[in-house]
Amino acid sequence: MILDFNQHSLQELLSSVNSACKKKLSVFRSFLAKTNYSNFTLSSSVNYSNYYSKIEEKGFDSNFGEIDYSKWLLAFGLQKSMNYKKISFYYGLDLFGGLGIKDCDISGGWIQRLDGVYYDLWFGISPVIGIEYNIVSRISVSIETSLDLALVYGNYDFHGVKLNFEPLLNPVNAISINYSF
Amino acid sequence: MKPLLLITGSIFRNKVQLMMLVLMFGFIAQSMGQEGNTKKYQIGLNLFSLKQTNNTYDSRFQPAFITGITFKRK
Repeated sequence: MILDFNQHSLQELLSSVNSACKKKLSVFRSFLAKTNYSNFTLSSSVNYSNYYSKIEEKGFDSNFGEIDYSKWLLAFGLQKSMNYKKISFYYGLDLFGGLGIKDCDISGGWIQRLDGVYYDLWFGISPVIGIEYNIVSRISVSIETSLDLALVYGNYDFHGVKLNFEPLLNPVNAISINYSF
Repeated sequence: MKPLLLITGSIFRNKVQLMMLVLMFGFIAQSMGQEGNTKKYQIGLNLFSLKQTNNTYDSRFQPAFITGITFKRK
């Protein structure tokens, strides 16, 4: 295949690419000009989660039983937002700490039997990004996603009390309805 | 005017219901031209979350409703 580019056509192509880029850039600049950047927002939250797991026996020497896990987390953080009309995009970093309460009854395998309530402590950081939409001036809805990078101290994997690193992804950290005052 | 009142009266038996609807539309229309809010404090209720569970035996994404409260100072 032979590419036949003469100088004239190449110049035309470059000028059209250039004008398209300039147009895109001007749209982006006008968006940036209309965007308000807020100062840092201080955020704090209390979160509770609970889940139940049933571990099925998968043959000889495997564990089986059930775990009821509850977790309380307290978080403090800083957020920065970009406001564009009624929509604002925000990102931030949370510091969190909390307590996990594990009520379990597991048997089999190397474990023999674990029956009782175990506790573990959680500390970590959590980068957050989200979008907020102001429905009316005081009421807004927001959706955010985060990644918990936590250190867990406790009877975490039943090998005894120790410190573990636990990264947990929260695709939907929270869909929330907010009231401003 | 009378047929309009008859129609609205038949749809909305309760006058309070009709008044609330009018107020709601007014509220939305009034807010249409507004830009984002400039209030200093915000309190939020977390209605839904989808989080990864931690467990040696069971790792999955767990949905949950009403999971927390958030407070922000802008």
